[in-house]
Amino acid sequence: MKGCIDIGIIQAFLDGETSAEETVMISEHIEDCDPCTLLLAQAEDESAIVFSALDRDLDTLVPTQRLWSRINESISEERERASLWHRALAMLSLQLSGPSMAAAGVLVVVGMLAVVWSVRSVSDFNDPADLVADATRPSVPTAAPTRPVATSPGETVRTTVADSEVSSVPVRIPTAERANYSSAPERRAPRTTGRPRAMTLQYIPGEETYMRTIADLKESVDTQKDRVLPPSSRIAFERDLAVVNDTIDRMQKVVRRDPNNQSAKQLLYSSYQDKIDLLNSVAQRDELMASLR
Amino acid sequence: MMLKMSKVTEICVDSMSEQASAAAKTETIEFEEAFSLHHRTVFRAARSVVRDAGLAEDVTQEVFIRLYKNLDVIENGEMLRPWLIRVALNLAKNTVRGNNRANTRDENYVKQTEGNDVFSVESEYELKSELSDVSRALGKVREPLRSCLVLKQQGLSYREIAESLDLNETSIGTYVARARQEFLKFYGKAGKETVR
Repeated sequence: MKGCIDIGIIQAFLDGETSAEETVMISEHIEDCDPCTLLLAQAEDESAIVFSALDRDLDTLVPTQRLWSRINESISEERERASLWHRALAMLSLQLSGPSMAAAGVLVVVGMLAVVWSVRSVSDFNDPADLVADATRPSVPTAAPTRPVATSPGETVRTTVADSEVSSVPVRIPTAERANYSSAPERRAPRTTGRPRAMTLQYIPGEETYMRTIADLKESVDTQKDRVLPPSSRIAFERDLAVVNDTIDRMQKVVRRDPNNQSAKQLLYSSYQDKIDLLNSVAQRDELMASLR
Repeated sequence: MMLKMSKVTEICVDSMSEQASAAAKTETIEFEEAFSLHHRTVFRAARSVVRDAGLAEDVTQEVFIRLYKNLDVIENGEMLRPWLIRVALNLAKNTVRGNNRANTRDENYVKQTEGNDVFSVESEYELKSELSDVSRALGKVREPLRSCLVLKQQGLSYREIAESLDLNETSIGTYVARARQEFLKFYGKAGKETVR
């Protein structure tokens, strides 16, 4: 057959990435070319297997809330630093606005530069001393992280990971908070979802429907999660649930204290939604598995 | 979180003219939108390289901080997602490289002190079994095929994939097809083992 189709084009065709003319050409060609039809069918089958496998593995829940708060924390720090600069500049430009002040402003700038320059030259002078001081120390800290290997290799990997995390991220949530999610599910889950406690409290508008949906979902998920989830996803699920519960817990407290706090309320609602999504992902998994069988 | 943002904007209103604060507000909205639209893809792309949720979080955080710093430079158009992913993949690769160096150091140490630790095989097995069959098979697929496959799975268009990975758009189809075949070659065996 003239001009048989390349596997790459077939893949593009399958992914809907070919242009209109190409699509027509390919479908016409496939109609009377058996090898290409076979190739397309095979590509379709393989894609189905591969992408459903990848979906299962890659599309797990993402710790949205934690990421958002971590990012905001470092941004607000950055901002504070920036706004200090901004103020200094604003003051300077205010002074410069008067013509008589201009000369004084220039003088101030020159003076500041001179100070900066002199400070820097002093610190340059100090540097060698620092280097010497550092040079006497290095053997101790480099040996420390490798030592635990002798007792337990698994643990070392974790410590080095933690080290690199600390060094690469200037601002981070204390490790205690992070460690939370391994132990939290057992402690937290019954507390936040327990109906009696919530009943005694006053609901904010719309909250009750969320609570009811969550309680219903939770029931069905609890009955099937052992069966449906493989251990690895089970751990991920419990961990994500703990994170969501934690946010709900905290936001509930804030909202009870100050019912007019709109942003806290919004966050509470979105956390409820997160929880529903999470529970749904487990509840629907069963259906998905059934449809695959 | 949002509270903090509003507090920060308040501080800024003091020192900035109204116009500037309005611009900052639209920037904040743009940033929030970019985060909510793309953080999942960024996180998952990073995790496919670093294979650790904690490290992927660090990478994702750094990616969005860089976006924040460059908001005025990067246009919030269709090429935003490829930009984010490109940054994420680079950071993730650097993280892995750093970790590998640390691991080799540990391994050298283990080699030196070998003989008295019987449990090393056991713990190595544990480490390996933490990874699912899928990520193990995915790990064996060569680059850039693997990234193509992951990004395709995450719903990026061929154009976006090409932009993220610095590849020619016309060859993405071939890459995806080859990646798919390679993945299946590795996954096929492991996958059957777990089914039976």
